[in-house]
Amino acid sequence: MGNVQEYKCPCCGGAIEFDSKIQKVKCPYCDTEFEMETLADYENEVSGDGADQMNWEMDNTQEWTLAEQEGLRIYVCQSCGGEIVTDENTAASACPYCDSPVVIHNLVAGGLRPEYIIPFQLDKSAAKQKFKEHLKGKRLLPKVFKTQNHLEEIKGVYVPYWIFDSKANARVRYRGTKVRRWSDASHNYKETSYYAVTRQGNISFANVPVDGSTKMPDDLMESLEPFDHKAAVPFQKAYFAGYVADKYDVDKEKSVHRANERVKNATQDAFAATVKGYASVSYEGGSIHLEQGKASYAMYPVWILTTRWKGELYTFAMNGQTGKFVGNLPVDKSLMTKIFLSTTAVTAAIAFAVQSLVYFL
Amino acid sequence: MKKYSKFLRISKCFATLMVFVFGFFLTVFSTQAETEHPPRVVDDAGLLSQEEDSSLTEKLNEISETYGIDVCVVTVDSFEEASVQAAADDYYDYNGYGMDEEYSGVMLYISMEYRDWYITTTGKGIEIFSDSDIADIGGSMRPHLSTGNYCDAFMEYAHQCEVQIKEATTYHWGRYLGVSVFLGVVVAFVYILILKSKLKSVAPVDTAAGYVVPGSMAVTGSQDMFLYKKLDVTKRESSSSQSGRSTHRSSSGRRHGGGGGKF
Repeated sequence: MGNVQEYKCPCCGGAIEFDSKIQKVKCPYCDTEFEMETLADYENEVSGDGADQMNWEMDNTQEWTLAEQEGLRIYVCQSCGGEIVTDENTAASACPYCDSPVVIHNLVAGGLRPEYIIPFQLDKSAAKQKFKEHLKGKRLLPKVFKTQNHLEEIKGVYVPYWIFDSKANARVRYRGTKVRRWSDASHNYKETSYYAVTRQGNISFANVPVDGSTKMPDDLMESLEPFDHKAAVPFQKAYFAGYVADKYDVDKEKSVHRANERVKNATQDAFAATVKGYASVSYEGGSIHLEQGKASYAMYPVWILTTRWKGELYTFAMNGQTGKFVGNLPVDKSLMTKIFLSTTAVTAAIAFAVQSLVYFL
Repeated sequence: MKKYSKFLRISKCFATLMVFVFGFFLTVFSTQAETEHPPRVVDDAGLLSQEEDSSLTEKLNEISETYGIDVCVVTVDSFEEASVQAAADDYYDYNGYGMDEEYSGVMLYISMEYRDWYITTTGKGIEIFSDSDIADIGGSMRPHLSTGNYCDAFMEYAHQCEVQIKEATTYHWGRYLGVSVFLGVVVAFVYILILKSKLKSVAPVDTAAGYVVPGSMAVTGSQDMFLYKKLDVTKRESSSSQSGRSTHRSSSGRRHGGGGGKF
């Protein structure tokens, strides 16, 4: 009797018993046949995955200086609880996130001082112009929505971001397939060959931003990207003059999760692009180790307009550096029904006329 | 002399008139001869009785004139052409069959020497009769042909042709309306989706691909290992699809469809 060792089927994941007496093994669940060496090599590849190590250092953050604390004011929104920071000469009256009144609370105390800031490069008139352009060409937009907006209430807000830099050492496994087709007189044949493809290497990321404010929806902030961090300058409170700033309420540890997710996806995609000659490539496993992972705290410029329509809050945002404007718009349901019915009627009439014309000609 | 010249003048007028009258009748008769349609039943092989021939002719004339598409039957003892297809096509083309500028029609050609049947189609006939339709007509005629019930076979052919032609030439307004409304709903649905998508500009960005340091990526190791292969075997579909219409050119250069077999 031969030695019996158990392997996992690379096709269906079922347990395969390997008998050293025979030359090939067959999975009892999916009937796939394997070479003995292939199974052992594949097992080695999978066991080499290891766990991700994605740690970030943050040793260069600073507290506010006394002079800065004296020159800044904190306002608190009575409705959403958001805390906004302004310089002592800028009066804030409404919350940029929910448009509710804010009251002055105190001097800035606690929390970290931003390391960098990207100053606003586009002014309020540019933001208003972009908003008007954003509403153009949208047939389903309620007409009344356009007129009810208070464009003057658009606000320049410095949004807190955690900025991540790192070099990623990756070992990524993919499942690649190659397909061969042929036919004879009675049948068509499709042979799919499966490969375990492994890529190892490194890739560096710089200035991956993660929104540090719970008041700003993460998807809205990510839609505003990219910000060009080369334009960032060391923080000075003078940049706050005329604008409001948000205090971070998502700390570095919580933001790390999103940064890891984005770095991991980008690494998998980048190495997948080096896998060539296959009909399909899908991610199977692997691990990423970060080297010199560094996180810093920065303020990025965003123009924000919030408006309510039929009881729902709509937030629009413009990248204060590039002018990219985003924000979901509501649908006028009665207008949508009208357009649907009229399009159906016109198309059906044209189709009927064409069919009749073809018949009678 | 005067009388003679008057007589000559009247004679000339009469002769001219006669020429015109003769010319007119000649033109009328020759036109009639040109437009006279060849018989829709030509039983050179003598498979039908006189009564069968006339009732089949009546039936085929009625179908052909109602729908404007020639439906005919030709039987021969043998043919000289290379194939029954060429024989049927040539008989159709060179004997004046076809009812419009496209020479639309369908002809059943029977040759007794090797017991061949062939249906050739032209013009609208090609659009109406698909390869599988022709095979079906052949299938329903074959039992009658094999047992020598030629009249039943030809009547069956006439009936099947009438059903097919009627179906193809009837104005199905209800069907057209249904198709049009369905198309309208699909187009409107897609249009609304496009309009709605224009209102959405917010979506999470799940990758940091935009923040890769240019030139920083290095692949230090790669391995591609074959694991296993799977074979899928599927039965081939018949090369001519159900609704296929295979066509060819006859010796006259006209386009024909058709199909045939033995009985």
